[in-house]
Amino acid sequence: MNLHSVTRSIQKLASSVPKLTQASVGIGRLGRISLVTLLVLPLAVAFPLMVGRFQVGLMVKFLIFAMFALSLDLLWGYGGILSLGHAGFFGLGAYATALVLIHFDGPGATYLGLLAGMIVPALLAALLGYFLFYGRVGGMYFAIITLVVSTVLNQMVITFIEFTGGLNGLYPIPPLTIYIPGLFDLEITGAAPLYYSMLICLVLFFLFCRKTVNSGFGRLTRAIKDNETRVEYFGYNLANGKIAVFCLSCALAGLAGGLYAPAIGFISPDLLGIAMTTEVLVWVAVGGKGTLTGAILGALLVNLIAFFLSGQLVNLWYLIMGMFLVAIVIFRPKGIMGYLRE
Amino acid sequence: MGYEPYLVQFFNGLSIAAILILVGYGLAVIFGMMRIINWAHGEFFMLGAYVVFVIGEAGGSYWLALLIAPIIVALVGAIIERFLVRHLYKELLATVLLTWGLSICLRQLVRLVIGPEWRYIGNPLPGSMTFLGISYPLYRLFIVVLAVAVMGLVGYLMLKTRFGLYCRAVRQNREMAAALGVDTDRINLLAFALGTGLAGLGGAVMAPLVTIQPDMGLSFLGDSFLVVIVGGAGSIMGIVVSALLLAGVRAILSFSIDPVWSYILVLLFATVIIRFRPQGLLGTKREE
Amino acid sequence: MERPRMVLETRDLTKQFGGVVAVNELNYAVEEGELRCLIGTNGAGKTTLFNLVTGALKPTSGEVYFRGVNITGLSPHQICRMGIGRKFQSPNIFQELSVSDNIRVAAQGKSGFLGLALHTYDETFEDQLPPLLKSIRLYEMKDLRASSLSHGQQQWLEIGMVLANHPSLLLLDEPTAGMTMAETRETVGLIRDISAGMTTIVIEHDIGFVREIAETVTVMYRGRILAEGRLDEVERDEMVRDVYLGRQRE
Repeated sequence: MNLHSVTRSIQKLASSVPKLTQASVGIGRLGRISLVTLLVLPLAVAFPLMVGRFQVGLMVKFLIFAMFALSLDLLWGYGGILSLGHAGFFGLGAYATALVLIHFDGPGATYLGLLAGMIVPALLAALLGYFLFYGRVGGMYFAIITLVVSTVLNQMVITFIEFTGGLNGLYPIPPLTIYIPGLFDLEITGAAPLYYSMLICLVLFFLFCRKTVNSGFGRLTRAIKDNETRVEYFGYNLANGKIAVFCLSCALAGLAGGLYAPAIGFISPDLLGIAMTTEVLVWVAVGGKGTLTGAILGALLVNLIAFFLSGQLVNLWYLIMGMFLVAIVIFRPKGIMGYLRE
Repeated sequence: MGYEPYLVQFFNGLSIAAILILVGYGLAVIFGMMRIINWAHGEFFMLGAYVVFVIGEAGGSYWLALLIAPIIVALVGAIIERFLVRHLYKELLATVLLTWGLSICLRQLVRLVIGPEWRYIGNPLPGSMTFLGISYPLYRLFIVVLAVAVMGLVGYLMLKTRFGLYCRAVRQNREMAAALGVDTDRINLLAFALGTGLAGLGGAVMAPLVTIQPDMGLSFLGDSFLVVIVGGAGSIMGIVVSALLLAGVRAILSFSIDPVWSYILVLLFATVIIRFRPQGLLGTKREE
Repeated sequence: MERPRMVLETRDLTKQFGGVVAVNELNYAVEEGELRCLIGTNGAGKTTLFNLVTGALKPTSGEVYFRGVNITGLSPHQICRMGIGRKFQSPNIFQELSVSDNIRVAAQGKSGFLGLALHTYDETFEDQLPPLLKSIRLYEMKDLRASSLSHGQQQWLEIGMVLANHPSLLLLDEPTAGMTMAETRETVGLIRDISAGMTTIVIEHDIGFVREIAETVTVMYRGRILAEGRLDEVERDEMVRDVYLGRQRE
């Protein structure tokens, strides 16, 4: 037993980790589910029983961020379209939903609010997309315009104080309610109920994204990313294809924002800012874009680390994130999931 | 009473345009040469302002700082190009993330090292000049004069010197230029340094007029990008014209409308332009 | 007296790039069901013609008619939907997708969006997939990433993709470019099989290949048609020999 053999066995163990993470089990019509998920899921369900209320509340936020990250992964990881203003759509959805919930008191407000949270960003995306994709605007310019758009949205939210509360934000925001006429009108409040609702939402989100990615539309999206001119010679309208994935992604981002508003109870213009966009980009890049699970992993992991580095070091943390981003780009462009899959 | 406010606004617009031209041209050089959009460009602007601040704190004169700032910022730019940006010329979208990350790093470093507090420096050229019935601040006039002089220098550099010739050759056709013996790596480095140096100069010049804080580059970034988009990355004239246009439009609009709306309208204007003329107003179509 | 239906017809089609006239008042016509070869020296305008027909380029002047319909100036996806399929010179496929997915994407190009989103698994298509894969000799590789195929196999994949799109006019641009001798021989059979019941135009440099498959041959030179007819007739044509042997004629 010497140093050499020890390091060798550690190496063998380490290299088997990626293979283990690939292992999966079939569950009939729902597809395959990885071994890792099977292990993690019970943990996720038991989580609120193991930790205090504060941590659970934190996790609620992180789960919503994971959904936000998934929406970006669809657009960027699968569609190859880089948006530098995705937080704009997330925040737009949050404000749309919040405003509906605050001003509309009836039953079913939640459904209306979430619908608004999806439709408003989707409409903006459609407008932008129509203009930019039909104009054959290149990837770089598109990125710039999304950046400027989200900045403008940020400014607008700050300026129109009567609607949005300006820099002070909106507070309090009525909670989510599940309303089934005749049966019940259930408010979702409290850390644990919120946690489980968001967990379910995340799972549904993920399944929806996966179904989309594997559909004909998802295939088209990946083909566009791969070789967009070729796609036209098979009869596809390229601009429409891009508009569709952009709208879908922004609608999902808006939905995540729409969940955020009542779940957290307070929103501010920061949700639309550059910092937020940077964060979601980092989550997806770190986790591995184009993998879906990478988006969830990145969102959870990065936010957890950020939390542990606590408030004092927020500036330092942001610096580290920036360096992270630079390092990822130069050294490991595939992210964690990408690395594991190789 | 009549035209005076408009004249003042006109010169205000001119001075803003002057800065936009400096910063925008720096951006355009980098984009035109290397097809990289430098998201950290605003931070070089910010660094220029901070150099002026630091030199002021150390007792130096503003004019000295104005001379030194672009040089220091250009050096920083050169180092960044040499060790980071150089690796990514093939993957353009990756450079977006890279420079975005750099932007964060630079802002946070300044925040941590110098401090997040908002700083101010005094007007180095107080007083005003009376002409055409208005009294206008000397310093703002100086900005316009400086910008014209610098752009004239840069124009001379680009059009009449060997370096400028190489730059234009590389921009038109990189492979051909390399095959003809041009050291494209060196040109990239120098162009990047030039671009960032110009941004630093812009920041140094703006320093007396604005709040100096780590995020000051961000607000200028959007405007600079719009200038490059509208004006096209290929020509000096394009940048100049579009900077004048955008600054002018903003100045006129801010008269009667909320600055947010003027920002939106400018954005709409730029979007429409880029939709119908992707090469910018005065740019030439690139055969990709 | 009814002429046989012209599938493709160009009228005085011209394309100018600055000072260079790539296609010069070209009047080119192909009948229903033909297997036509298009040959000529480099720069004769063959690929430019394809570009003009498929909408990749807009002509400087002149028109293109497909089955009597003026398609001049339409966009590539519109032209494809009318029934023109194109195989590019170098393999133009989706590298990151699997072989089967490549074909699936190609096949669904003409269905609307809702169709794409709702139908993940199209029974009829999936049934047709294995025979198609076998006909392009790629059945064993159906789940492999396209980027892992050899150059020749990628060419076949692209042919298969274009076929899956159900065109009625097939434009093949140098389908054997970069192929080994063995692959070229395979491709002969492949093209003969697929061109049955379809109108096909093949751009080729390999005269041996042309000899194997062509019925009618068109020779282009400097944007114009130099000669047209059966290969043995064309080979004996004086002007064609001059051009190919390098003696320039104005």
